[in-house]
Parts: sequence; structure tokens; C-alpha cells
Amino acid sequence: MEVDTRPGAAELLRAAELGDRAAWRELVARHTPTVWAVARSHRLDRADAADVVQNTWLSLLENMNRIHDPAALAAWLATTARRHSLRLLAARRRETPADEARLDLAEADAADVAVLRDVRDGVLWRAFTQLSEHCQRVLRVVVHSPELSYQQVATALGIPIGSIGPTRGRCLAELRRKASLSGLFREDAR
Amino acid sequence: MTHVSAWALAGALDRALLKQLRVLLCGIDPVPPAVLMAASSLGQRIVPSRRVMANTVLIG
Repeated sequence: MEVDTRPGAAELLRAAELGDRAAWRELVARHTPTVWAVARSHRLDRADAADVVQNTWLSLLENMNRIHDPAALAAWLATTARRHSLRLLAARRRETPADEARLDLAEADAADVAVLRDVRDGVLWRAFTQLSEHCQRVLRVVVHSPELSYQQVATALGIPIGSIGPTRGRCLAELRRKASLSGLFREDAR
Repeated sequence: MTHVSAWALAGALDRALLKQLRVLLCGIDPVPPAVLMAASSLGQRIVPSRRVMANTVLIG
């Protein structure tokens, strides 16, 4: 079994508070994928997701000495990213007429399929984009944040905790089924 | 309360698929390096401070 000997979030946060920039950089490197995933799961384009990332880390900067449970930093960041995402979405709705709404995330990413490494990735990606929006949101956050509990994922996404487990299971089953139809996971589908 | 991650509650097959999906999504939709750099540079604004203890009562 692999043992993670890296300093924990609480340790890094304490060091960062004391001015250790390397600790801050490590926090950013470790947790930005989660923040990014939460922003993208709210269907924000890359520019807006970048704003959410920046605002989320700014929020941490402003509240560093008020985090009650440093060990749960990933959950705090995910929840804060969700708030910033919702705020940005509300602002966009005010300033953008409905018929000029921003490009759908799946559509925006369709071009990226061209850079997929191989057929296997292509099949899995297509299957993923065929999932419901709800499934994509939940899976994006779960895959990027292995340390989050159901409660924390639920808070980050603003959905009931009771639905996380069943949704995760159902969405992965659906993903496996759709990918199997294209030849991937043939052995699992039997 | 014991912290149990969502991944820990998934079965072996689901965990394997989650890992595969993670690699895929990180490849297709990675965090842009400029975004990481901008967030990292915020560290320069940190003013070393002492943690405010939630249970500390200041007297006098």
C-alpha cells in the first residue's frame, strides 16, 4: 500500500499563514484542480473558471486565520468555488441576453477531442459527454477530489447528500454502459 | 466524526473507472498553467500572522 508522506493540508495552511510561500504554492498545486473542476461543473467557460479560481484563492488569503478545520481545506475551497461560480453565473445572466448565452461546456470542449491521446480515451470522453449534465457535474468534482466525503461533495455542488452515492454509482454504470457499446470495457459488460 | 472519502466508498471497479476518468479529464480540461501561476503568485500577498484561536477569550 502506498503511504502518502506529503504534509497535510492543515500543516501547509499553518506554514502558509506564517509566510511560507512554498507551502502556499503546494496548496495551490494540490487543490486548484478541485476548484477548477467545481467551476467547470457549473458550466463556466475557461475564462470564467479562471476568475473563480483566482477569487477562491483570494478568499482563502482573506480568511486564512479563520478556517475552523484546516484538515477540511479541500471542502472549504470547493464550497467557496461553488459560491463564486454561482455569483458569476448570476452576473452573466444579468448582462447576457438568453439567446446569446455562453457556449455549452460540452460543445466548447468538443474540439478538444481531436487532441485525445488514443481511441480508448476518445470512446470514454464521448461516453462522458453523453451523460446527463447532473452526472457530469457530480463526476467532475468526485474524480478531481478523491479526499472529499459525500457530505463535502454535496455541499460543494449544492445537492442533497443522500443523492451523491446513488448518483455516483448510477452515473459510472451509465458511463461504463455507453463506453461498452463502443467496445470499451467489453469484459465488464458481460 | 470519521471522514470517509467518496472514493473509499466506491467498489474496486468504480475506483478504477474514476482513476481513468481523472486522467482523461485532466488531459482534456487541464487547469491552464497561467491560472496556476496567478494563484501561486497570490502567496506574495501573505502577511505572516498568528492564527486566531476560536476558543481564545481575551481578558482585559
